[in-house]
Amino acid sequence: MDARTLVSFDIDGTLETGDPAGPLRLTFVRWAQARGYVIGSCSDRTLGEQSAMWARAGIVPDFVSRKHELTAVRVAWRCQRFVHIGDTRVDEHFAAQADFEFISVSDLARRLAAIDPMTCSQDSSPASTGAVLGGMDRGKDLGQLG
Amino acid sequence: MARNPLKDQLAVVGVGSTPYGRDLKRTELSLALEAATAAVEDAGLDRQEIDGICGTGMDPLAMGGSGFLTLQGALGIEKTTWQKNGWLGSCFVYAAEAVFSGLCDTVLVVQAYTRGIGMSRSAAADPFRLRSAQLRAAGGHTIVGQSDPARRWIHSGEPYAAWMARYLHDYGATKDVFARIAVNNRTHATTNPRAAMRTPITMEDYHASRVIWEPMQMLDMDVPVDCGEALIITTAERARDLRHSPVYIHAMSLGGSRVGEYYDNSLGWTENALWISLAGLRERSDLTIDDLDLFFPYDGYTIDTVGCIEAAGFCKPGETADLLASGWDAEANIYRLGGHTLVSTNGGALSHGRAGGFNFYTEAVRQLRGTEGERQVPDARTALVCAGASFFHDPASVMLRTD
Repeated sequence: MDARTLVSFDIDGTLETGDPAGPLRLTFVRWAQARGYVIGSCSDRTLGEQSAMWARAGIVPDFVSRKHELTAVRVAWRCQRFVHIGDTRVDEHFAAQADFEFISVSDLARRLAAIDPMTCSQDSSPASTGAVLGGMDRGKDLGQLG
Repeated sequence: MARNPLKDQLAVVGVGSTPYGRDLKRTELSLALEAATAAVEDAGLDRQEIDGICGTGMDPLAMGGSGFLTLQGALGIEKTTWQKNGWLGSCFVYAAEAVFSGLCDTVLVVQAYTRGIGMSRSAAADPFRLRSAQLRAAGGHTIVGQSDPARRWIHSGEPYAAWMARYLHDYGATKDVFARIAVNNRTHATTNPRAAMRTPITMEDYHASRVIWEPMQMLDMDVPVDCGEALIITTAERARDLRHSPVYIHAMSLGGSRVGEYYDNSLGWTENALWISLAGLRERSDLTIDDLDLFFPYDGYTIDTVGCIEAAGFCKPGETADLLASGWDAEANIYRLGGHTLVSTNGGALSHGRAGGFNFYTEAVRQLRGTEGERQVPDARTALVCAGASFFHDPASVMLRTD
């Protein structure tokens, strides 16, 4: 068993590179990857589109997955913990189906913003406008976020 | 042949479009005004020459948004003698009727759409879009009392998913027929700078996309966007004195079937409203599908396009799969109908974005003018637009041609 945590990011409405743009900046993804998290994306965008997005950002993801195939990610990686970050109930549904913990990006953004505005945009969408309350201690593990 | 006294008597003389995006952070009115202003400038008209306006929406009076009252005031147009709000492709026909009847001489048609809460769960989570929907709820777009905004939309995809299943069953087709439509449209969108979805997709991408309602998949559905489109129609006589080569309205037809809006009571495959609309067009047009350079079938769902192809007469019912396979250009990732007719050159609603089919008109006009540079279809002179060609309401078929 790999002791690491796997973090799956939805794209549209979640990451700043999504359409609509979400509140999470790629700085957060880079930060997570640098700390040893297994990171990747899980989206309704095609695998090619997802890979292109990561390439444009200069990030090498550990996986890309279609939204409805998150279970295959669960099978492929033997991590200690599996987290999916997304913005909709569809994300929550597929996270639950694949036995991932689901973190709402708006909740996460609120907590992050108070700690470090660099990790989440303050005006990338109406949903995140002013979402600067609460936050995450950068020194703590993502496990503190659940 | 049916009567067609308006044949080539009207012309489109101006078009204007905004960028398309899933979150442009703009109001419907803002998008409408940008498109309208661009159309007036494109036509080379003074705005005071506009004496008819068709705004966006189903409401008889403007309720905010981009209805005719708001548009006329915001554009500073002093006098109009015809006004209406409309939506989908049918408002083009209404506006043309108004010019032909003499109720006005030069009409501005403006259609602006924003990604609604009933079309997207992320849109439903956006406070701006939610509030906007609440303000417009009286307009009939939502079912008041539904706690889940995504379920308030009166018309959703389930009936079309059912028709997909029925089509596959009755005609023995495979889902490749839908995949080719999705891939074709995306391929064209990759060269359209206004398109919302411009990354190429493959047949494999289509088949691997998420199932929404069996057998309908994510890539069978159009893309809800924020966008604005506008065009100007006037008499052919007036058009000849304006900046661009006129694009004539050769024939047009609406369609209605007796079941109206009741999807679960819909008639057979060849009896729904878009077949009536296209039959009406054929009865009024001197041009046939053999003359067509461009075809813009509605593609709110890929099954709509199958219906348009068959109802237009490119093949018999149930034969679209074979037609697309035989016309498939594997190198270009597009299909041609009858060996020459290009389809959805803007990317359609599936990839350019959902504009009720109104972006089909503006794309057709630009292509027929020959102004599209690297995207230009060589020698395009005729286009058939099936905008808003729902099986159940508002299908409009319009044949456009140039000199």
